[in-house]
Amino acid sequence: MSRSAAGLVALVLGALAAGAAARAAAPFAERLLVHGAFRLGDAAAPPPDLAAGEPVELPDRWPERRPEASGVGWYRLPFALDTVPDRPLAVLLPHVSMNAAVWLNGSWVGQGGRMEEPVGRSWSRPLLFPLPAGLLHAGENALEIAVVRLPDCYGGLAPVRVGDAEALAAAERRALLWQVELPKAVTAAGLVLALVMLAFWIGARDPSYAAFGATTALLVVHNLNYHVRASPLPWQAWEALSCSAIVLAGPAFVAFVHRLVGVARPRLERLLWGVGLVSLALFVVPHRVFHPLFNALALGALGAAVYAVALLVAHARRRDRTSLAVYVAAGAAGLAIVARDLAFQLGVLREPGVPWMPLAIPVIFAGYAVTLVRRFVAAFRRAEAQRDALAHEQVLALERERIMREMHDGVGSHLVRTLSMLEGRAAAPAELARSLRAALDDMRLVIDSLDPGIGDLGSVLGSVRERLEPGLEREGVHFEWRLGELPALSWLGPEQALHVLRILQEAIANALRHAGATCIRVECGAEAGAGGEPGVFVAIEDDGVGLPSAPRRGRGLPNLARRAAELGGRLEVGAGSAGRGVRVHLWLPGAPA
Amino acid sequence: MRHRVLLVEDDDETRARIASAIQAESRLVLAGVAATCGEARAVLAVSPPDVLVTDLELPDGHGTELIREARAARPRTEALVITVFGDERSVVAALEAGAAGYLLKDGTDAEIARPILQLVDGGSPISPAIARHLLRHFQRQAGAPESKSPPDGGPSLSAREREVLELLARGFKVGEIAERLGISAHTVTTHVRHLYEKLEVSSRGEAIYAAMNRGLLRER
Repeated sequence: MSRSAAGLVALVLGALAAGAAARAAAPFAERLLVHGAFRLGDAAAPPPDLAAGEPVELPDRWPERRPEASGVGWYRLPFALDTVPDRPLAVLLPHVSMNAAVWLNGSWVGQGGRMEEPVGRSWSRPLLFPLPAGLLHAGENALEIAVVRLPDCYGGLAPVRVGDAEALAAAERRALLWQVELPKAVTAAGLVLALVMLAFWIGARDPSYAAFGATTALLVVHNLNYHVRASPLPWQAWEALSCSAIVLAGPAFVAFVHRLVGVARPRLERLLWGVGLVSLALFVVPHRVFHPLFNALALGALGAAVYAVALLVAHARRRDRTSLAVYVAAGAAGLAIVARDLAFQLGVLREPGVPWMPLAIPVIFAGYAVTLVRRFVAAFRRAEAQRDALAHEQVLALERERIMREMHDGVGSHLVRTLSMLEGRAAAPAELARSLRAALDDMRLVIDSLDPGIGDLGSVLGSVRERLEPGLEREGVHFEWRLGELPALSWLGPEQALHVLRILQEAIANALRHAGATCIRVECGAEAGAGGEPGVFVAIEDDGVGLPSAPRRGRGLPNLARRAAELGGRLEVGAGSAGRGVRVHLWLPGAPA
Repeated sequence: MRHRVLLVEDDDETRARIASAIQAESRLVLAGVAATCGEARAVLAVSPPDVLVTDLELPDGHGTELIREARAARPRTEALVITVFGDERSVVAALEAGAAGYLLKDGTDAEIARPILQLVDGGSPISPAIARHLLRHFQRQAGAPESKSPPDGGPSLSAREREVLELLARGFKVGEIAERLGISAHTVTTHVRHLYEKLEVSSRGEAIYAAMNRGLLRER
């Protein structure tokens, strides 16, 4: 053999080997099983003569083919294999109602929960079962599928897929996400939403929250039907629960919209609730009546919902244009979902179809709960504003009372004294003028104390000088103004400012009375108290002849001491620093007394 | 040269007293006496005064209107308001309209004449209460959020102006402040004058801004 011939053989052999490897790795071509045979039976095992049963084509819809039949029916779906593939295969039932058990070549492979009451609820989910390789063989194989139909309910089987286990598992996961996982999430979210609305209702005493919470709760109960597989109840009780919940959601939604919009139509509401409560009969009616009754009631509930959405949209057009687009969108989407699923129920659309109802709660939540939360926040703000207004009024009342007291004790008593001077006819005009000026000065002190800018002791002293200097100058006395640095006094409000103003005014008036004064020195600065606590002092010292004898209680001095004590301070009166005159020393605490 | 004063006051007694206090000053002369805004406007139209001394509450209007009009027609016109209490509420509006201070209704002749003379001498009468107000006004403006400040941002205080205002608010006189800060009394007065101008300018800005806001609110 020449080198070239040997090379050619090697090349051909290599190519053949590669071809064989490619064949082994080739994906299994998925089969869609549509044709087969059908025969009624029981769940225990496939009937022996199933292959000779009635020919069927999937999807097989029991209400059309055998409306009276219920219980278990068997399908035999044959498929041929050239060889048994060396990769795992599986069978996927995209739609079955109510439940199915799958056998392969006479051996049980798997089933979607119980086949007897309460029957496992597989109507809205895909069923996937691996096919054990040992049961497969080259040539004709057959799937035997038992389907349970509930009396007078939809029953049926859609085309069945046999294929690569991994590929079908991916398809199952996709379907489960939409048909089971999403409804589960919606149930959880809806439950939380209903509880939140309940809390809002208890908190805000606004019945619109109760109505919305009830609507949500009813939709949640209905929503269980889409993902609960092992029903805790016999089928009719479970279906009745689910169906009456969706029927009663209609009047609940109407009640909510009435309260949201502010419309009172109690008779209409009673009528709708009355009709809705008829749905409770579904628990006990004969099977034959169940679906016709439910269909009628569901149409009524849909009508109620259409009415409510129309009412809301009309209201939003007049009053609440910002929410209009949301209401229209949520209303249209919600009604479309309900109408679309109801169309399957009524047979307008042919089964099988994936239900969309689980999307209704998110849509309604997006549309209306946001409005409700906004409403709650608004109510909360109103309550806060009312509380603030009340607190504000109390402060005002206290302040009014204080000003009245100050007017009474200050201006009032000056005016009364002036009046009695006039009536006594003994007073000189200058004396009268002095008395009236005193009244005016007092009023100015009160007004200064109310000045919002007078928040520190420096300003109080500035005000004292502004007010008293003209009077002093008339008497030929001048101020010596020696203010040092002063720490801020956090306790100095209008009332305290007036106390300080009065103390200083009276101390200065006293100094004026001391004969011979030409100068009043005002000093202030930081000064620690007797116990070392921080504080400030204000000293008023005149250069007059001084006190006749060591510290005596001058006119008004007890009054000054009382005011000082009220501020947590102390007042001392003594001889002036230069040995003449009088020094009044006021100490005030740096922190609240 | 004698400075012409227009006195506007609706109370007969008070008007007579203040008029006699002005007439008692050799350097001042009454250019006119009015009891209403209408009368005052008639005088302003034919013989604008150097100083306008006006009450605030007048039977046919408010003294601040007169101040604004007089200063708009002749910016050199000085203005003072007559008040019983010299409290913030009544004085602030006048300051913002361009007044440079106030005189108290119950003052003696000398006390009434003093601020007028200070003004015509190029000084600026100021009280602790006014200083307090100016401090608060400029603080508010500096600290105001973007949306509330006037469009031009408004003038702010220099460090020296703040120092002067703080001392004034604590009762120190111009001379005492000059001594304390080591500057001339004239410089202190110039600061005060400048502050009044800033207040008037920033108040005008605020007023325009507020009016715009009101206009916008009406449009909604």
